Amino acid sequence: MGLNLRLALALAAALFALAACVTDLNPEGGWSGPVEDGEFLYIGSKDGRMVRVARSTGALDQTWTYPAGEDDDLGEIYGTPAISNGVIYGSAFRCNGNDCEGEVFAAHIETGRSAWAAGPVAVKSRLVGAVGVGASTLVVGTSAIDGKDTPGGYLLGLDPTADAGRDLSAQVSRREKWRIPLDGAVWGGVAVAGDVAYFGTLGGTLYAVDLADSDSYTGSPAGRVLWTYDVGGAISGTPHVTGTNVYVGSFSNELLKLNLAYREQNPTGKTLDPSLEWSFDTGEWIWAEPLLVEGVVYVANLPGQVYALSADTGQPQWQTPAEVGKEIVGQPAIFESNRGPALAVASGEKDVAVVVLSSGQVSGELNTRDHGIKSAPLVIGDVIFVHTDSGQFRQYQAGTLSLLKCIEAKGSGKSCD
Amino acid sequence: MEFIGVLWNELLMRPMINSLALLADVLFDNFGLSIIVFTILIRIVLIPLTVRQTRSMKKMQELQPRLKSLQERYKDKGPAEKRKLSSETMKLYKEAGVNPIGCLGPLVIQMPIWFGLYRSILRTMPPTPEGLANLSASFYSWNPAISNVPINSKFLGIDLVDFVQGAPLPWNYALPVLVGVTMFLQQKMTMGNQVATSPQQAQTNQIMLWMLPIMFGFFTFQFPAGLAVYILFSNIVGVIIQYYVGGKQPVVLFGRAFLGSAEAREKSLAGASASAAPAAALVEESELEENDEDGQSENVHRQDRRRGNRKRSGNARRRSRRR
Repeated sequence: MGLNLRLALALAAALFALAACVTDLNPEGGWSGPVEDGEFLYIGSKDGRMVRVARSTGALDQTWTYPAGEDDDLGEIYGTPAISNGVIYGSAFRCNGNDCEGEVFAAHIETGRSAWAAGPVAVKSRLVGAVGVGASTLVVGTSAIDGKDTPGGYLLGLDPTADAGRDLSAQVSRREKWRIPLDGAVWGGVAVAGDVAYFGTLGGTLYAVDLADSDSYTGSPAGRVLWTYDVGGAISGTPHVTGTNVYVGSFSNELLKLNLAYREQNPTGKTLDPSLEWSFDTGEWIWAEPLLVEGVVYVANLPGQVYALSADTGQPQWQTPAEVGKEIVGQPAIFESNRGPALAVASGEKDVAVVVLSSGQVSGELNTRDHGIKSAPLVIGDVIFVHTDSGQFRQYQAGTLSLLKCIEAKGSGKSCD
Repeated sequence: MEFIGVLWNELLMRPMINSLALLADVLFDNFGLSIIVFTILIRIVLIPLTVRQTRSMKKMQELQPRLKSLQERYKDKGPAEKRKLSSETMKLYKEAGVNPIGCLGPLVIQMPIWFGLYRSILRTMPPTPEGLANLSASFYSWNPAISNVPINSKFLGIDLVDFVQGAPLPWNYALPVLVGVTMFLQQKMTMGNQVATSPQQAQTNQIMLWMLPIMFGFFTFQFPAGLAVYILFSNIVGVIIQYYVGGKQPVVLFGRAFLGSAEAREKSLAGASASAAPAAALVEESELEENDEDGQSENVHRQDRRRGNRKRSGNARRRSRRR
């Protein structure tokens, strides 16, 4: 066999092998953050299940998992789940190329059993962002459904009500209440405030959608869109809503503050046409949800620069001297360290940086032993909880930043020390 | 290892990702057009290497009979003679001014481009949240295309990051077929009107001509559609370049000649029918040879002896002239 032929065959084989083993097309297990309810913390694990950890012992509760079957899993869970009225809601998906199967689930936090008799709601789409829970509607942002080109995504309004004691024949097939076509996929979470859902799309539009059950929307779900705002870049994070203000970062590198109070209201009393109050350019993409504490907005851009801005004016009060990590995706959390109030900023590369709230100086870190974290840290009292991208659930003492416990939040829940 | 990763990233991946994104930005936010224009640019840059490869292949082709003769001479000899065969072979290459691995240069250079492009397409239009979070680090700060992320991955109804087998009809079948057909055409033109000088070479030529395109056609089902578009247009541009580099030679397909002047087409047809019989005979001979323990083809022997004699007498003439 000639040298050229052998080389050409080797090239072809190598290319095929590369195509066969490359994983870039498929998600890698999600980055769900923990959520608290009483004695337990609930996490979307790396093996595609909802699991829970007892706060008192820091151990995985082996008696509770959703779904319960050993061979069952939901797929990749990115969004932090939401708990409402004793039910935990969330979404997950799995893909083979662009062929994606998503599920929206609801499980009783007492039993771990599905709150919906027919099980999860199947949506042939990537369900990346966290679900939002309204008074009577569960909202989920999707990517394109069933591989269709347009629209780029939907907002689905689902009936979250548990099925117990209800006429199931009317419910199981009618869980979807409405769907609104969007200009792009929703990869960030949906924030719900005052029965209005706020979320952004990768198309760069911030949406406000009325969740109220009103006859005026019958037959025209798109009429629920109260307003849209073009932020000039893809929105991959969750908007931060407080009072009459919405803070949203995007791939335009800017953090925007929109004021909803300035404008006219529709007949149901909801604000229309938000007004831009200020914008601040961080020089890089913003993914993480900003945090508002006592009149100061804290925002981290994707490469890891953290800024403190006056919520009134948008003027910077400080910025970290250098980038504190890489791929900052999770919202920073505030806690009380030995050196006063501080921000915990989780890095997708490794560790959680500790930034002094008053000065922006980095005073230390929660050492994760090279495990990256893209989910938001959770602070309860003097304990900081982080879920690493590799599936470890680590607990730190807030004052001393020392590790209290580390377990694998998957499988048997063994210690990772 | 980490150093190699940094080199790979900085010298290949980042330039490719930025070029593709920038081209998409300029070309109406169309990543399909970006891949096509990128392919054309890459092929243009590689033209000097393509020319070198063509020449190198020609020279190697010319050396085949002499190499064969050398191999025959040292067949079934001891290790000392085998070493002598190596030195004689190298001497032959040196005399002819051929670098035996010179013809591999363009292939070796194209390999990382293929691998790099494969990764770049997936990284520029990441279908996963991890990929999107990772993407900003790949962009140069001056690249205006960064604000257009996520880049539209649709082209002619195909999602360029999806596997070809997942593309809508007819593209899921058309792309592999087109890749196979254009690769066959390119192989055909690269080989030109080469006449095999040995049964082994005749077989190799046949495999190169048929097997590679068929293999690639099948592999294409597993590729992201963007890579299939790259290979397809790389083949098409390759065919065009080969046509000009090869002196506008006609292509003979299924007994008919295409391209080139009318006169050249007639010549090619006549040449093809004349060479068809010996080529077939060579392949047949090779099959016979495989069944024959002695395995020596008289035809090749005769050719080699004739060429060896010609070479020796030529050398003698040159020596006498020098004297």
